[in-house]
Amino acid sequence: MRRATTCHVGTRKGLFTIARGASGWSVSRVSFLGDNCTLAVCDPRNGSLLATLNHGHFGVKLHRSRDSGATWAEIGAPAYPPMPEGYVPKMTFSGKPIDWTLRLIWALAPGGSDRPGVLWCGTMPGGLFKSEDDGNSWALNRSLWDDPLREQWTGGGAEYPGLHSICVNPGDSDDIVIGVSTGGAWKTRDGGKSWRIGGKGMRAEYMPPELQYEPNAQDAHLVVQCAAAPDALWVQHHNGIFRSTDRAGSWSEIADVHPSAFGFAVAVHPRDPKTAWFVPAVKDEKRYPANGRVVVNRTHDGGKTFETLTKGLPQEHAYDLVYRHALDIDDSGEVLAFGSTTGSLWVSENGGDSWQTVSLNLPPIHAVRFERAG
Amino acid sequence: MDVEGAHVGEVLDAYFRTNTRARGYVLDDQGRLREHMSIFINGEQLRDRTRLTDPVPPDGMVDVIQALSGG
Repeated sequence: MRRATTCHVGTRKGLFTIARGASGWSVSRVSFLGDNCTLAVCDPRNGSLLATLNHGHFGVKLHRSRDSGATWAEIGAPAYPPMPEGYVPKMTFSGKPIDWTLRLIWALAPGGSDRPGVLWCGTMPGGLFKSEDDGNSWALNRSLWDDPLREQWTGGGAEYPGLHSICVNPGDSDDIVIGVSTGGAWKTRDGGKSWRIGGKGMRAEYMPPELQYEPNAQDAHLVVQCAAAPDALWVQHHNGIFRSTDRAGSWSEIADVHPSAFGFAVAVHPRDPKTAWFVPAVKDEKRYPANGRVVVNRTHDGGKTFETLTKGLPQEHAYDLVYRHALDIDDSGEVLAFGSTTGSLWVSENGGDSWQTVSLNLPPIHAVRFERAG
Repeated sequence: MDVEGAHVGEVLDAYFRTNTRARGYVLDDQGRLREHMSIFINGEQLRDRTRLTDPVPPDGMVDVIQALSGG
């Protein structure tokens, strides 16, 4: 499998593309400079690059490039259907009604190699949208949106519930697992016509006792699947790390993780379901690297043991936090990259054994995604 | 720009027909005025941000402005 040589980095002040040159990785292009680029995703089926911008005052927009970011065109952003007359929305923790409008695009995923033009999009508040025309238009998935359990979703750290993970089974495009903060993991086997919540095993120790194991109350921060063994899922959860070997049928908690089991990001090896990477942080309300040391945790044995990788990473007075979409692994399983809220960006070309600094001065980083070939 | 309309919603619709992309920058997907946008009709601030029913007199001036914030 060819190693990635290009990576797209969504930041608070634009989309930065980094490329592997003779002397290492460096910024090769800047798009949308000054704009808040919250996510970028490469579609390996046609080489398209999608970027989401959150303009704040002007709302959330979606742009597409057919030439690796040289030129861009704005395409349709998902829109919620009209709110029914008389509908009374649920209140957030802070007492505001959960708004029935697009607040954030939080996940974008190609719909499978046999579904050209199909894209899935996860949003805040808690929506899943599907496009069948390569992102030009979108429709809300009503079977999930209208599920009474969906109404019970709440905001995690954010005010509104957010759908941040979309795992399309590479061998069956109708088999999709999604992750929600806060709403656990859900699955469909029929391309989104029907949904059911994943099984038990995730645990939220901060919840009232009767809700600690409730699947719909789980604050999954990110759900990822092993491409070659998609029954194997990993979750970086608010309360720790969880793993499923039956495609969200059940979950087991990974214990004794040092320096911390808290974090947002997780990456799994594309062919080895027992190998995964995490970027731990002190929980819960503090959220900085333990002891001011940026480290990556790697397991090769399904979470029985972890190595704490530090070579090339700052080990003194470093307070970089890594968001859920800001760690990625390429299709070779050798090249990883992650970026931080401090604007630091690191790449490893040996599975995390050592890291090279690409920049310590980028804007706060939301998302890191390798370019993928079809 | 001169456009027709008896209330703010109609005036905006008339303008958005000439610039369809602008709609999503001024209004949200429910047709409400975005939070940090404001509209003035002859210097009077819009009251109905949800349905945009404030009347606009003939030859009235509608200003669409934005707040600036962030860092």
